[in-house]
Amino acid sequence: MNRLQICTGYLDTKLQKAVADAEVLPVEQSRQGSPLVLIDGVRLHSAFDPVRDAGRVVSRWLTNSGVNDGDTVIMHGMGLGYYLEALAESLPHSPLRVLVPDAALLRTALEHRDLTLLLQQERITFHLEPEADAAGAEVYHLRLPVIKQVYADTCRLWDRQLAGSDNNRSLRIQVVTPIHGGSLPVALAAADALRELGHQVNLVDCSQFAATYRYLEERLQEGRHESHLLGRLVELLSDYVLVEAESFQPQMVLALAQAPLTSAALRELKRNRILTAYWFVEDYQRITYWQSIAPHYDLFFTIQRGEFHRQLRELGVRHPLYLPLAADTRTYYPLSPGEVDDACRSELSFVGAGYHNREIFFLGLYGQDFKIWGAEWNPRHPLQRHVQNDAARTDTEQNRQIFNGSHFNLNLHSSSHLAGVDPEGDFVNPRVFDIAACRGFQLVDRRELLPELFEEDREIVVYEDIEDLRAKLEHYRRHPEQRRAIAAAAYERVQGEHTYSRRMEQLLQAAVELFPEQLRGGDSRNSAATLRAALPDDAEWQQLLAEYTDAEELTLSRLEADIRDQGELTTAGMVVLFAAELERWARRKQLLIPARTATST
Amino acid sequence: MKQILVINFTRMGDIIQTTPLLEGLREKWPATQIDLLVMRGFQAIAELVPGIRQLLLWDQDESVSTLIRGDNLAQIYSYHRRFIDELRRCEYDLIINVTHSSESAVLLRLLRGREKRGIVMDELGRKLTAHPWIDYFFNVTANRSFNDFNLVDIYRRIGDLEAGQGSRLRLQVPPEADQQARRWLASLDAERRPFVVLQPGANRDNRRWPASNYATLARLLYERRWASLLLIGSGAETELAERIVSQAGVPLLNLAGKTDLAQLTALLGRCDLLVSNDTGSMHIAAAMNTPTVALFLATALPQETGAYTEDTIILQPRLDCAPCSHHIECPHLRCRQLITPAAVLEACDAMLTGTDRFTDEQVRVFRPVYNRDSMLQLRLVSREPLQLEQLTAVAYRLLWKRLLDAVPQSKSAEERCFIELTEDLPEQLDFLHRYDPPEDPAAVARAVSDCCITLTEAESLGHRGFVAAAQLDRTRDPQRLQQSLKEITAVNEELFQLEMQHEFIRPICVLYRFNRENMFSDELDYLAREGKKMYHAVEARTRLLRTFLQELLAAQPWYEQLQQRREECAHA
Repeated sequence: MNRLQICTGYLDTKLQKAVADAEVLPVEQSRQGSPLVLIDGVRLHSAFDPVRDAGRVVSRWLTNSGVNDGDTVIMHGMGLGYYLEALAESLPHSPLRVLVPDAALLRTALEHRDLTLLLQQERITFHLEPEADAAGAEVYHLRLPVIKQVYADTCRLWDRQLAGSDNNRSLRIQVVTPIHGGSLPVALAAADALRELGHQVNLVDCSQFAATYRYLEERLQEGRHESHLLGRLVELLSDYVLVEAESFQPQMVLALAQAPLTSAALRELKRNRILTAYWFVEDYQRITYWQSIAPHYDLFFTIQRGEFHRQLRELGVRHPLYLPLAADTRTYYPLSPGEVDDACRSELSFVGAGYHNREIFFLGLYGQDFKIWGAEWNPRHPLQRHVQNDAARTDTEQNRQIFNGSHFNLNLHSSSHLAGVDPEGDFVNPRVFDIAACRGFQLVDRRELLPELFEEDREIVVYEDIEDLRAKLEHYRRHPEQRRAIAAAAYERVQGEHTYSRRMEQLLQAAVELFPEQLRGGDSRNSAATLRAALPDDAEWQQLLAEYTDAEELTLSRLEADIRDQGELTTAGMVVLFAAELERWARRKQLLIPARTATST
Repeated sequence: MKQILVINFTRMGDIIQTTPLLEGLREKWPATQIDLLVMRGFQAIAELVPGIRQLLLWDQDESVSTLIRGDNLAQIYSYHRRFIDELRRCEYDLIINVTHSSESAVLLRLLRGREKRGIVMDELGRKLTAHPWIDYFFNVTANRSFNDFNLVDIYRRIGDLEAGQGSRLRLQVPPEADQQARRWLASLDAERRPFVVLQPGANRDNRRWPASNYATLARLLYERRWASLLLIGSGAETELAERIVSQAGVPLLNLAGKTDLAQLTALLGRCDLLVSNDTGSMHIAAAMNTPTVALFLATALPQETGAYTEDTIILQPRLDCAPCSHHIECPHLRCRQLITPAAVLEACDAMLTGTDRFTDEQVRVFRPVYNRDSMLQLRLVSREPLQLEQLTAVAYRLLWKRLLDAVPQSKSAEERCFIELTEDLPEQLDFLHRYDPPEDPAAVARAVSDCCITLTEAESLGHRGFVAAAQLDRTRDPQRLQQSLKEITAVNEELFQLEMQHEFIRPICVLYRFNRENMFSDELDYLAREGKKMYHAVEARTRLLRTFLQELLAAQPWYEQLQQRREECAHA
């Protein structure tokens, strides 16, 4: 009996068969001599020392996740066993479940490495997909960044399956975007992330009204009618959010900063037992409308804490919660050198608007190979020679090119009154994440909340003032390999921890902890498993529900939409359509939802 | 034809209006068994419908309850599955659904039937109509003001009934109910006759003639016509009835809330006259051959929902806004006040004694008559000047009567059709001649001429569409195909514009759109074939409608005078 046969004996029969049928992937040797595997041009381990690299990834995760020995861990993906070895060593008593993205990978690991010591342990199991009980409060997930990169689809599928499983049941969430502004892309990314996690999302995209809003704003120009009329538009949109909620019946409405929702509308949502959450992705000191809106929300998420949370509590906000921004990884990702436009290349670059502190601070880099991108830069300022494209606003695609095309991406949080780095700056702007997501090398001004997001000097370089920046530029000019290592480490950190999917997981986890009844509803009357079990002998009914994971919560309208997508109708499908039509009728007649009172005042 | 199912998920009045269809189907196929499916809430009236093999019921309230009380989806599904499986046990030769609702379209798809008429959901979940008169039936909702057919006649045409088949409403009364009715009538003063029943309620407030008017009318009938009076109504209308009793100050047998439907039907069958708003009782009385005086207020449309009988007088306020749209909320409801008790008394006299005297100019009075096709048509018996609306309604009636089922395919067929239609002309002119000449004849003539211009435009669009569709049929050259498709898109767009701009042409355009939406294949041959048919229909219908309008106008004596005057002026 060869090693492979011995090893596969520890696997379940399904996996045994899959491994037996799989081919062995080509293997290289690291400089240390240990085997490593390359998939689609990406190495799953460090080419230098896979063992040390895996140890680092695992230990960082251990610190951030708060996992204790004994807790169950699900590892999303595997390499040739290095990550698993590190994890098993650090958590000697934890049940460890490994999700295998590809049987060929497992076979290759078993052929090239001796993993028998791991396989012999009953607490370590391997699976091709998450088990039904795979999610839960005491279960921790280690998502290996490199696996997420190589097996993106599989990872998404696992996330969906897990989202559907019991403790993380699919929720109905209505996301409300602002009409315009910086929080709009955040709203869109959040909605996508929620969908990716397997939730049902209804996006109320208020940006469709941006042209109307701008038109009114320009034409009325702060006359006495402006605020009144713009307020009316907000009321209209607010009512529209209610109308959408009436038909979508969300369990939660998540509004992003500047989303047009009046307090009357929020009261109405509450009256219908819909949870309301707000993500205030702005600087509370500069933008102060939070004072009037925060008390109306059940959950108020912020990108700052400390003094801000104290003030929120004083206002009566019961649950101020810290939720930093994240990287929009659909938009920001590494490009190969050939994909970067020459115009977007430079040694130094900065992307952002021409705030007062930036104009003063960046004078310190005057004359270097330094491109400044973004709007609102004073055309008469000496930095004008560095400002690109007549200070036109950049779009996300350009930003991606610039972050990829610069040796040094500078980041300086804005201030309209200070001269340079804000000594009391706390929150971290989206650019920090976006540059990292492009695997760009970044130098950023010191921020109070940065260290818990990125490790200084290993994942990001922080400067205190212009002298410090100049010195660090000098150092890293001489050490391009360090730049690459830091950028790669930041990239991994983003993939593992700072995506919008992670943020939405954190947001929902907080929401579920605080409002378990509203979000979990206490039972699972309409989970696919319950529904299947209710009519075990109805073959058509079973077929209708076959596509759903056990814990997915279903509604008539969801079933109806899926049935219509499938084309040819079965009798069971038609029966559901019949009931769905009836439900629509009942809703029109206001038999299903209490009659709404007028919301505009 | 062995088994037929008729579905009607609407209200009491509509179910009674379905009875001629049911009877006509039996007359057409005497050996056929007919089932009727209605909502459980209307079981009581459906049980009075004669000649039904099986009365099937859909408990809509229970259906909705499964949703409201929060049953899980499996329970909701099982409940509806049981109901549908029960219905699917029988395979029908023909299923006719005279309901507009989407759930009935789904249901129709689920039922087993060789032929289905009504909206049917197809296998891809689209809603299709399956009969020209079903198309028309939907058209009525969109274009109420241009419909001159009674709903019963529309139902009869959906059933492809011949003239004379299903000629009247019918209900049957169980003997116990009749005994109870007789007991009630025995309690009245036998010296006082006629027995007049008042039905002051209606399903909507705005369709209710005021209670004080009913009270006054009761007094007038009691004091001046020596009548015995009865009040009927549902349990919810008892308070309204009591108000009338106390205001009238004359003896009134108040049976509101005390009768079941069978007893009510028996009672109405034994009385001499019913005065009612547009209600189910009005249809019951008609089914029982009891004369009625009906007040059509607010949205009620007598052409469509008037009682299917010649034994009725219909009163309607003479207001420009009457009947109003379902979508408006009226700020004044003047129509409720406009008809006086004295005017209603005149109508009662006409029904009871045959004196046709209508003196109130604010009230429009109709008496329906069966025309030569045995279809009911409202004939004006009060006085008012003719307007464009009456001309177009008659022109449309002439058009749909023959051109809905089949569109003439050749020039000679079209001419034949026109000759046939002119046979109807004298009768229709008779209807129109009951109106006084228009107040401004030149304005009406101008309006007709404007309509004709619009019709000519639509006709040429129909022709362009036909040519483009024919091109699709002939050529396989991609460039020319593209050209044709582009042309078709342009024609559709222009037709739609015409439809939006000219209310008058909507019935034809809406029907055309229904047909277009009913196309179920993207295959080129099919598109070409159906496209040719549809555009030809638009072309032929608009051409004939224009000809009819012109004919009708030319046959007006006042128009002749107008022309003469014009010629004289020209000579001078």
